[in-house]
Amino acid sequence: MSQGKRPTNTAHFTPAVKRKRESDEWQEKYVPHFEEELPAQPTIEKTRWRRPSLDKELGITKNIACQVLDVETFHEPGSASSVDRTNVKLYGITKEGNSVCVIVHNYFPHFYFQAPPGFATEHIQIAQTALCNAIASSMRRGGGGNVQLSGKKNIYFYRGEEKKHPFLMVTGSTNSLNKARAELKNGVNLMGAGLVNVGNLFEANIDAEVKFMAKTGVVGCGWIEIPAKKCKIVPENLKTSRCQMEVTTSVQDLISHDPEGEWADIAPIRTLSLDIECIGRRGVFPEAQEDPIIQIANMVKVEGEAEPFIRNCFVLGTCAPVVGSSIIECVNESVLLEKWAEFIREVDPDIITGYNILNFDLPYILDRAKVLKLPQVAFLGRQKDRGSSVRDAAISSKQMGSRVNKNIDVHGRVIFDVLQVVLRDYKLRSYTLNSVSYHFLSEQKEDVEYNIIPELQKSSAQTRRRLATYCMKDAFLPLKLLDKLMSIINYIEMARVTGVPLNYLLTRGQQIKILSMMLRRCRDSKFFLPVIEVQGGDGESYEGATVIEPVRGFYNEPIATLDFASLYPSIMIAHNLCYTTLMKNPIGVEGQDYIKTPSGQYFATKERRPGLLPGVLEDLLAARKRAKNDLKHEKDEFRKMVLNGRQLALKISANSVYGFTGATVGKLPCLEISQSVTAFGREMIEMTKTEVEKLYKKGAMDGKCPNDAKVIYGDTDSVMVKFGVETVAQAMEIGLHASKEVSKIFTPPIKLEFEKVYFPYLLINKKRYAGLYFTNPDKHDKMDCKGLETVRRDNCPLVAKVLSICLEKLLIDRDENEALNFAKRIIGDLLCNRIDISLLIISKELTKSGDKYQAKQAHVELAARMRKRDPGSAPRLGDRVPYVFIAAAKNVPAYEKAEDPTYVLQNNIPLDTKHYLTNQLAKPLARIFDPILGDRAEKILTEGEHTRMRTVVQSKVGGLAAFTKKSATCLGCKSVLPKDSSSDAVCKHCLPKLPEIYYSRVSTLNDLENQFARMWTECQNCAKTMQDSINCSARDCPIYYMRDKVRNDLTEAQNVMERFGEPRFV
Amino acid sequence: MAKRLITEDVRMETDEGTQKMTFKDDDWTARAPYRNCSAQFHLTEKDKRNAFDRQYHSFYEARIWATKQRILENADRFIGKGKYSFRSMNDIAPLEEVLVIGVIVKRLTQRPGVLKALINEERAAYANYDEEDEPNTDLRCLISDEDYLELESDQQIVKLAGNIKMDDCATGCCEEGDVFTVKQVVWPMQAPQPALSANRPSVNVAFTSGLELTGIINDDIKTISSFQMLSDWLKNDADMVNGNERLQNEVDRLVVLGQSIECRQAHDVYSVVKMLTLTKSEKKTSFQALSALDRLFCGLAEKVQVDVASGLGDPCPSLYPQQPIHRATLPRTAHTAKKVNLVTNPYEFELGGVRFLCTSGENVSDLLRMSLEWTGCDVLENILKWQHIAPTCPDTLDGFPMTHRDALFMESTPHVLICGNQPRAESRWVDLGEGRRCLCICLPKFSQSRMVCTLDLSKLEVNWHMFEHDF
Repeated sequence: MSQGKRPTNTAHFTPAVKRKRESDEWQEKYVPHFEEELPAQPTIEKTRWRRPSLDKELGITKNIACQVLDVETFHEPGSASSVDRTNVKLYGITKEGNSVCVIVHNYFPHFYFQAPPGFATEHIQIAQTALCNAIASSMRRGGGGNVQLSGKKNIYFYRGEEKKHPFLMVTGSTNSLNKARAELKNGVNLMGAGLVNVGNLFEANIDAEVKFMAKTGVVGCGWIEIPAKKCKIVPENLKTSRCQMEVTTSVQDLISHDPEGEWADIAPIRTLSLDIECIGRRGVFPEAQEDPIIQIANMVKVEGEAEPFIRNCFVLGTCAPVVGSSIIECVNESVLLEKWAEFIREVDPDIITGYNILNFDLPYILDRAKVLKLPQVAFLGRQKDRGSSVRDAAISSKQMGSRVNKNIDVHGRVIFDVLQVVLRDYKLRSYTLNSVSYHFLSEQKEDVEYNIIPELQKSSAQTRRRLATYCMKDAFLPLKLLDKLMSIINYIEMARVTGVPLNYLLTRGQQIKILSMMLRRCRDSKFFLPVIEVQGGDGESYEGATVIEPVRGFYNEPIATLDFASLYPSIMIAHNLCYTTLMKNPIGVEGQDYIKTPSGQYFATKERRPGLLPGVLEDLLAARKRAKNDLKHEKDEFRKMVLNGRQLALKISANSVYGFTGATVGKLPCLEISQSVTAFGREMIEMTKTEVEKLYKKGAMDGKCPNDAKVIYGDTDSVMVKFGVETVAQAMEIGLHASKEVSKIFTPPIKLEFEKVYFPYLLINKKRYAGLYFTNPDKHDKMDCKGLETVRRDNCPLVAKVLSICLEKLLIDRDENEALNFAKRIIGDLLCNRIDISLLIISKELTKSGDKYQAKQAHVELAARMRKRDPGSAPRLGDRVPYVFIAAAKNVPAYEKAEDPTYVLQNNIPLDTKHYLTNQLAKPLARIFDPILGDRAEKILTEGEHTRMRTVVQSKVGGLAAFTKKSATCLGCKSVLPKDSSSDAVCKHCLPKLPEIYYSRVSTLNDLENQFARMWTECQNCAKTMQDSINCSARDCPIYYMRDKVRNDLTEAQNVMERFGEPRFV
Repeated sequence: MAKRLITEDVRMETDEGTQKMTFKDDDWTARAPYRNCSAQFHLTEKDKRNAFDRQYHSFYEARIWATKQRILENADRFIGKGKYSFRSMNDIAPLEEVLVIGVIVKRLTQRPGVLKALINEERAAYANYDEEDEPNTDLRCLISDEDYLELESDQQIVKLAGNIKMDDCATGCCEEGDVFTVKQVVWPMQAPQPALSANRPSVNVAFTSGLELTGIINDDIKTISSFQMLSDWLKNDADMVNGNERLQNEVDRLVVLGQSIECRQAHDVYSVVKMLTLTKSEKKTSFQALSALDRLFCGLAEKVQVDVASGLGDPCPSLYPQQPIHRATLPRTAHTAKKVNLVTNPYEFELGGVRFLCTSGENVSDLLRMSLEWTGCDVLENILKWQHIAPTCPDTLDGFPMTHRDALFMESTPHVLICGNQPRAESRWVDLGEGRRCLCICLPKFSQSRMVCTLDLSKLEVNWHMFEHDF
């Protein structure tokens, strides 16, 4: 629903007293009762809901193979004959689409610690007893713990052939391990000779699920198989889950398949998308304590199929039918929620999706269930005895910054919130469902203003039907988005590559992925990972990537770009940079036994010890090459998508390894590695520059180089070279040659690649450039802009638009004058008020109420003003507030000049065009014209001839508006018409020019008419209804303001036309 | 210049039956009596009041309301009275066979849209810029494989499948799921066609369209001189004009069907977007075209009675139904006011007992974009079947936001249906059943073909004449 779509909303306004009264009144008015019209229990058609029935032979004669979607551990209390255990539940789907729950026994989590000096085999028994006692006493009952000696090594540092420190492995249930950790810290009498404190533990801080998966080789969304004879089928009455089948098996019998060949398929996963509607009171964001849910729409789809097979909507009250969807009319909210929860349990979806369901819809439903005392509603998962609850979970990552999300555990199902996916993977202007669908699907939905929801709910079965169609559309769009973005498949592949469960990818940061891969590697090479206490503060910082100082300018000649392919991963591979090869002090001979990195660290060479990280990276890069190769040969579209998802996942994973080592608050920071990596990078960029400029002097390559090559810019992993040639083809030839030659000076697999030529190339500054991108000599691929104001959100759309058109003219048409003239014309238009208002709107999110902001901010002030005007329609917390700057007296601060665009349109308020020119347009435009015009650019743009003419609009409100009186003027010369002929079109003197005057007026009219017709039919097509009025209030929509403006303008133009009189001859 | 019939424009308010005629010269015989029957195409005060505060949905409501009775009449005829059950879409059970009335919507994935144009413009800016990779070079065609039909009725929308191809109303049987299988389509009952009187005057009426003057002399010079030849010929002075023989019977009337001025604002959405953001270029040249037009009409009016219907690009409002070209733009012609008749588009009139329905052709051109198979005359035939002059208005053809009435629904069936500004000249007789026929004519643009069509009222024979000026 519309109010649910704000990405973050945690705080609320709290004018408690006043609202209380409003809400009483509202209770009476807005919650109609349906006891007389509807039966107590709705009759529901359930035929399509069930999953296909089970094969009776499954698990008896046939092996059970299923794709694992969710993993959880649970505690099984010990009995007289057994110890406490931590068992694992795997939830999966078979190829036939049956849901299976596999309970895995005999798995024991573990951690390691280093044995104290002098520890020997004979101490094991003592240690075991001591530890068990310590655990038992703290748990006040018997708890198992098992201690073993282990031959593994600490992953940090290469110590040469130094003597082996024995390590102890402790296994047991999760609970007892936790106790053991605490006890070890306090000291345990391990050797029978007094307490020993053990601080440094290994692998103790890794999730049990990840450890289990690493140990058994199961990857997220991978296939497992349980041999028929090796499992026990749990009879129906003893099942703990709601899966169609529940089996128990021992960890030894579990077969895990690598996602290759037959096991690369994806099971027929059921995805359910949902959306709720609730009634809000005037000006208040709905609160679960008070405001009821009135509708829940659901769409269920099988992965790989085009259309959902279930479309329904649970509605409070009577509702007219919707063809093709089932409407379930519920007599009250409690029935609605209970029936809906039953529906979820029956349909048994694997993935639950929707837009912002994680932070709005699902918590709201669960909270409502609590308020209405409906415990059954919380049982949405596959676990029979565990309901779902909501927790707050903070997540912070370099990639996304920190934010607080809700965390809901729907046991056995994955919550795959589309908003979270989009937030993670895409940078957009706005994240409302509407603008996201516009951006990706070129489709919009009718955005219903929340004010009219109560109206629609209380009116009639027809209006509730309308609400239901909105609600279902809101449930359908997330499914379409997932399809379009191929998110589910890409995430499944990411889970397979990194080995973590699917839900980790959305709820956790980047690190867990690398950690999981490391853990798998460590298992094979007998290393383990230490627990590093997170240090507060920023930690150490180190020098980042380098940029070669750009030689700014507009290059109307081909510029070749040489790129290092997968720079950081290949540096790590080439120089064997790893935790396991890092040396505290150099041992042996430099160059033979160790190397010294440009940043001064020492690492063992490959010959001494091959590193772990280079191994991981080599595998990732090789796997990516394979996937790309397979992709080329694959015919099947669906499998193509899977392979493409995989190669993307592999690329992302490989590139994030470097970041993992540099994350000081991470699980395994190792700044020595990241420092060395960037240092190598810097060195290589410089080396490339020198080498290129040395090799490609004038006359090189048998005279193919007409001039000395010059590196004009270089950044992180690419170098831009001016070879001084004339055509793209020449630049390509030399570029290709250079990439081969220069690669020779680097250690493989570091390789320079030649990818593209920019022609022309506009180099504005560091990380800011634009150019026409060529990969073949004949035709450019695209226009490439980096770091320009084309997507920035704090600018008005006009800036992006003008900038991109100017760049097009500069780069594609190569016409500097035309670009400059265009910019001037736009500035002229701006000052003459000819720019459409929708291009001037800036919007900001209202995140906290006014007094909590430190400085006064335009959108906050405006929201307060709008609340005074009409509390009902004013923006609420979490809303994006759109505003424009209006003209005001001198020295009025900017924040007071912000105004609601709708209000501006209605009252014809003049805009502060100068503000837009100086604060929005001037700087970005000057930047791109600087290289052409020099420093005068800004002055030329803001003070030229074109800025002389200005138009001022007469406001209908405020100022002198109340005192002015309108009198008829001639349409030709604007002179005031005498009273007796005030209804005429023109004055006497303009009469000869009447045809011309009429013609120019009618042209304007025609334009407006065309706009009017196109816009409103566009809205009809968007809302997909011809016979119903459009209630859309999507302020993000590019035509929202245009269509209102055209209405006003057209009415005015039509009135003017009336003054010319009857068209026909009389 | 002596024998001329002067007809008085019958105002829309006048009674349908009355015919007011005045003869200037009593010795004139057998001239055709004329009556303007375009009342329904004039916008009333009620139509215009607060028009642009409306949305388009009431247009469709009016359309259903207007067609309903006539559809039911036809259902009685084709399915049989009492043999069907007419129901609201709200209460039909699966697999039931029912008659529902609604608007068919052809969902075109390639429908031009402001939003699409805007998004394309934005995309062009920074993402994948594909130069000249426009999806469809054949502008005529908007169809693609992903298109489908929907029926909207009583606020319900269903997809249609089965025995159906295009526009207005249908009977269906409700299948399980959300697809409607259409068994039979019932179009509205044909509007009555006035009887064609047996003794029609032996006079000719001429039709032309699409002068498309640009105001740039070099572009217009050929059109203008060809048109002047046409007017010489119409005057019937010489035996032979530019290879066209003198007609046996005199041309009583010339009907100019729109687009006399070149339509600069091409009918695509891209221009809308550009217009929203960029400065409008000056339109001086078009004004030159206007005065050239004024001169041409003025010259013509000395020789023949002229009806000038408006069209896209002409100096008049552009929304369908289009109001006449404004007299203020034709000051010279104003002096011969009574001989130049400024009329609406569409334009319906009766001449010598023959009923004509003309449009400037925008409705047909728009419909042609909906199918690859149709020719102009096919579309005209369909229009007769649908009983609606422009079903795609207001969706893809800009329409005036009507309420309470659908001005484009056919109230009577003409004997001759003509549309202007088509790519090719074409004419055919269409059998309407029960012995009634209708002549469908597509006129090419004069600016491109220099063609004029004449129709002998007594024989109802179509003749084409070409006026190519060789310099």
